Amino acid sequence: MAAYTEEMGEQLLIRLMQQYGDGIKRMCCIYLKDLGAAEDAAQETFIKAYEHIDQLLSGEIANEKAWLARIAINTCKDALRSSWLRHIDRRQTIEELPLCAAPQGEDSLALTEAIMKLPPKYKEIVLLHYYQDMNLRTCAQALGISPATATRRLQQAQKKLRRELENDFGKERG
Amino acid sequence: MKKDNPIRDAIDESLYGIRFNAQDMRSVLRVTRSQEMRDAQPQRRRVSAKRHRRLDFAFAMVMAVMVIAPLSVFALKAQSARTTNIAAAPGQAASVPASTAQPGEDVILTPVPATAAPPASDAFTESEAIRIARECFNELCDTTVFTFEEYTVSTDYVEVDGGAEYVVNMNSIYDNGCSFSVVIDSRDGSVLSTSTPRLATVPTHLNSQSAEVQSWYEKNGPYIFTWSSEDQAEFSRRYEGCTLRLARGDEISASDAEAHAVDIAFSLLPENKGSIFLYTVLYSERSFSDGIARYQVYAFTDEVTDTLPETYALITLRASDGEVESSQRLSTEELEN
Repeated sequence: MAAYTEEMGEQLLIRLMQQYGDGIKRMCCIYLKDLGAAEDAAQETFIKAYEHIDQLLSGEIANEKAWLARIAINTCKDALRSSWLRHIDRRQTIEELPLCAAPQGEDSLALTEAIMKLPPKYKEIVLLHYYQDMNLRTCAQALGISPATATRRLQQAQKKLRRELENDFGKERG
Repeated sequence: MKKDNPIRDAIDESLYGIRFNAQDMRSVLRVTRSQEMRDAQPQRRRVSAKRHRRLDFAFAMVMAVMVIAPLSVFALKAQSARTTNIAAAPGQAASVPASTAQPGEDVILTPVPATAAPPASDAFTESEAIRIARECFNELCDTTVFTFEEYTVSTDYVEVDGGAEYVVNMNSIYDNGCSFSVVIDSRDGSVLSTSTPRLATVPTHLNSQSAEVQSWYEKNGPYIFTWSSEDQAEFSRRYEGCTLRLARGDEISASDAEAHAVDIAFSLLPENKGSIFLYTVLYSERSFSDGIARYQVYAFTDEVTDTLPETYALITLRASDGEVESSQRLSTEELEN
């Protein structure tokens, strides 16, 4: 077994946090709809990653971004199952989250809010595929479902998103 | 490339203010470094133990000849005597306890102290340190959730300037992240510090993939609200920090709660076929920031099996007097995850 020093592991961890930390935390935030829980889940993701950092150092893990996203989604799932989220409704609306102050973001807000409203099983496929750039086969592996189910779920998610955005648009016009 | 992905752009633009900041990084590094230190500690202990053995080598050899050899002979004789006795008493089963654990009823482990070897000059032994930690736990932590026996206990013997300390680490046997640790001065047994007592009973995660947790779902089904009240309460106590519990004498019962909810359920689910299926969960004071226990009654038009009907009604009422606080018709999609 190759000997990797603690320093090498820590340097890699710091690089991963710098490179992917924002995306992982935002993904956790969308998934959990709770900034505090998202912070915990994002940190937990990197702690879990560090436990297997030697696999990354040795080149066993080819796609580090997909690997991290997979850990993050599983961490979020566990957090949702934990009663402190399941039973205690601390969920936040998008208005309560720290957002970009830029006024041009209204369409983005509507789209992000629509994704947040999706049930978890649709939300995770959207986040992995569109936000983390994972192909459907990798998404299916990460979620423990067949590629056919992943494809179907993504199509259903798109349909739900479209319906949600149309409703919002309709409300605004009405 | 970035323009091709409106969803990623939308999320990054909307949540621009959410950053994995320096504080997050520090928190992660603090944990990973403390893990590294914990992993390194036993090694240090082994080194100091070797040193002691080298110093007493001649003494140890004499002891081996004078004590261990005669004891071995005695042990061999005793073993052969026991074998003879068992053979001479047919019908008497050897007392090997058979596992009677049901799904979800794991055998509770007795804390097994790690074998740290403090120098003989210390006034307090490792087992005394564990006793002190136990007293500390009973005094500071919520023992209505977990007892001391529901943690695995390990000790580290750490040499510090001018003395030494025992660090008694307790980790929940239910793999829920609950932990408590006590640092004890090895000379006088005084408690130098403890971890936050609240974290001894507030789970940080639910290891839903563990065989133990899975066995509960295999036994009871995928939806906790369909489980018996006893199983809900015990599962929640072990893995969720007592957010569900059984009703107390001064509260309305689950069937009373259902009686309060049934008419509302019928009105919220007009598509019913003349009957409504009710499932009740009692959420403890720990579940709500206002510290009030509440029943939640889940109502369905069909009996819940492995698949859920598309909609359900959720009626929330106070456990103390049954007053209905809210009622709503909801989609089951959220429940499916």
